[in-house]
Amino acid sequence: MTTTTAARPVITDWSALSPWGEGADAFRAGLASGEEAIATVDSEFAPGTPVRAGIVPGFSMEYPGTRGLRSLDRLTRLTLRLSELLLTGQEGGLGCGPEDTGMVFATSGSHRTGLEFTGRSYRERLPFHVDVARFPSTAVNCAASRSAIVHGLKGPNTTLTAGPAGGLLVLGQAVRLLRQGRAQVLLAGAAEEYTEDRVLLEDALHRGEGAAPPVAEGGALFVVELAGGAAARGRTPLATLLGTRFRAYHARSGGEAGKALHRCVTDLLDDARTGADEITLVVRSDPDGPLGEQEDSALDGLFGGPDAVRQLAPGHRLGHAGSAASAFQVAAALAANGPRPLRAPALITFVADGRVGAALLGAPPG
Amino acid sequence: MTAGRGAGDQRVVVTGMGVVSGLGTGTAEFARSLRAGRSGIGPLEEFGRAGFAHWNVGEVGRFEAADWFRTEDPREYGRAAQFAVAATRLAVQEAGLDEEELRHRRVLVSVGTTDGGTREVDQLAELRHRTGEVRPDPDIARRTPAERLSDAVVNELRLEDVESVTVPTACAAGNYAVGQGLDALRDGEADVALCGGTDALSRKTFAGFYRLGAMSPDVCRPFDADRKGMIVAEGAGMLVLEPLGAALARGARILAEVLGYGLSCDAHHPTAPDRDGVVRAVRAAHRDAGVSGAEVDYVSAHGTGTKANDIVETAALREVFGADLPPVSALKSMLGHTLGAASALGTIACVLAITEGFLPPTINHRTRDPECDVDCVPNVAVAARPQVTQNNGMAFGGNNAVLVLGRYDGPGAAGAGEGS
Repeated sequence: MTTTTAARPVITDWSALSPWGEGADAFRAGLASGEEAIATVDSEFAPGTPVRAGIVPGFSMEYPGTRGLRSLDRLTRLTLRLSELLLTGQEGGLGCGPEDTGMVFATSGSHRTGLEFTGRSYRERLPFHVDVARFPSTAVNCAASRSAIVHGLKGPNTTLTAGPAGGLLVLGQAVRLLRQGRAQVLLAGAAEEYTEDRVLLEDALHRGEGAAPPVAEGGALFVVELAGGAAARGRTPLATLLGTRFRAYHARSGGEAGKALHRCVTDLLDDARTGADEITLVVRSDPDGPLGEQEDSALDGLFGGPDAVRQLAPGHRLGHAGSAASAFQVAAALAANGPRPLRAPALITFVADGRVGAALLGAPPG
Repeated sequence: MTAGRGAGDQRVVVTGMGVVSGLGTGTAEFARSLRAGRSGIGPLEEFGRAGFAHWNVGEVGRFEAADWFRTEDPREYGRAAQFAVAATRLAVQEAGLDEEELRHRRVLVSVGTTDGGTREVDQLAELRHRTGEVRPDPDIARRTPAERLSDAVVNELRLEDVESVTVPTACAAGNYAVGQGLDALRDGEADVALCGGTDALSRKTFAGFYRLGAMSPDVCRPFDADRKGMIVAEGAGMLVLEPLGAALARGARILAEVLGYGLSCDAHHPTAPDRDGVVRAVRAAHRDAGVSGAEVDYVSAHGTGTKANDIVETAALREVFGADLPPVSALKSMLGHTLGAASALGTIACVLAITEGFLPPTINHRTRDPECDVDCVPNVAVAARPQVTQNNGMAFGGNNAVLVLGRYDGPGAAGAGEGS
């Protein structure tokens, strides 16, 4: 392995906890069948009213009474389960010391936890009669830092919030940490929880009852390391991380999502010295309405038409997963051809209100 | 990040800083307050005190968001995001960067926070309690997502070639954000980084720390035998970081060099700090900066003034520095704990120590705690000419981040005299 090859950032393993079920196999099966994973749950605020959402099957909706877990919100428990799924797949552990192992994680946090914590301050006789056991869960970094405690990850522990960009941003941030020698192995990914409070918040952000697409929960987590280290630790890369790139556009100043995404992907391909004709798979975010059309038109412009390259859009099947949506897209790129390593570059794109971004994966080095 | 490009090792410098705080707006006023050992602590005005037995906080006070917004409607954003925009405008102005020119550069915007839009989530909780309506008010709801903090900066400055990220790593978040800026610039993945931290006082955090018994009823006395805890506060600190070469090429005034940073996770306890975790972050920062403990001339402590923090932090510093521990002061004695802004404002104080030639004091100090064996620069700032300064950040979840800054003496240096 040459020095340059050894320094390539690679993904060597991944797992997912999604409305398709637990683990990478369940995710691959769901993606392959195209099964819609959106279920109906009973409204907590208006019992008897159905709410459509992408729920992780079998994951209890209730807070368990188990001591030690009682204070943990659904987001933290989902994240703990997700990291456990990934780590139990590592026979003999991650292959480096706890100080060199870290986590880079994106989430929006638990909206419900904050509302409930402060709500109690208003409800109780005295304003400080809050549930102090849940105070740490009101911080957005709770899920990742709890994962560090449970799994003994003593290296960098970073939480990011960046809306739908989250699942791609963590990959870029992980690579920077690895390049600067701040860690040897990083678990990078994103997760969100389902709560009805999140449904109501999304409706408010979309300005109308039922206006938001069905909310989804769960996440995906990837083992990211440099190729040289992966080889030394006996892990086979599934893909090279060729790059990530992000852009903003400002509709009030005439900016358009499609143009921004076109420019973003062009810059990313230039940086990675990869031609659009080399790409054999595109996993797009495909939001409803005009934004989705903007994404399509940018991709058509880049690839010469909707049939020129294989395209996937798992978001429609899973629901609106916030920052986990782009992590699910990365998982889909890795799952699209079964458990084998990637053989040709795959592009992941998202468009959102004011923001676009893309990530490029390639075949493993060597 | 792009695999095709070799990892560079650009030197990275600070060319501008912006402050919104209870100790003043803008670096000049902030520096005067720190040098004078002023207290920014006073009674809570931002929300109701009823039912609390004590209510001292560090508020920003009068703040007109409209003074800082030119393109966006400030009502689209919460108080913490508004602080971030104001601090960024000040920093960009101090850096002498033309905003139109900035729009043509590749920028990383990284804003640390503890509470994000919690101030506005408080309002939603209050409305739900008062009216019984579970559906949130859309005008308030859109101010609540945490990513609105970095997005506010990106939108207001109309940046396009930009990576926008909010870093909710609680009370070490400002250092995380500056570290992210350093890594992106070193890697050649940004031309400019706008980074720091922000938070607005919230009922959630006030009630939570109050219930934990972590809050002092009067003032914050870090390292003092009679310390009774922290004082929660609010504010924002933002910095402009550039590669040295680019800063020199545009004739920028260079305030200091970002020498390096270190991250670690205690992986130990959700709220209690851990000595070994802090030691690892400090050592990682020194290694990244290429300095030994003996070269560090000043440490801006995390210094919350709680029993646990100050003992653990002192022990960690002693473990790394041994007998060579330089003066260690705690800004939180003056500012209170500005949460996500705390280590950003600490970083700014570390730069000011270099450019203005003084070590900020730990005020309210009466009796040194024997378990906190540090020279905390008691009560009065001292004149000094530090070459290397260190800023500690420790957070809930055991998220530690330590930053090291250095005097820049080359061409373009801001130039500092001895302290006055």
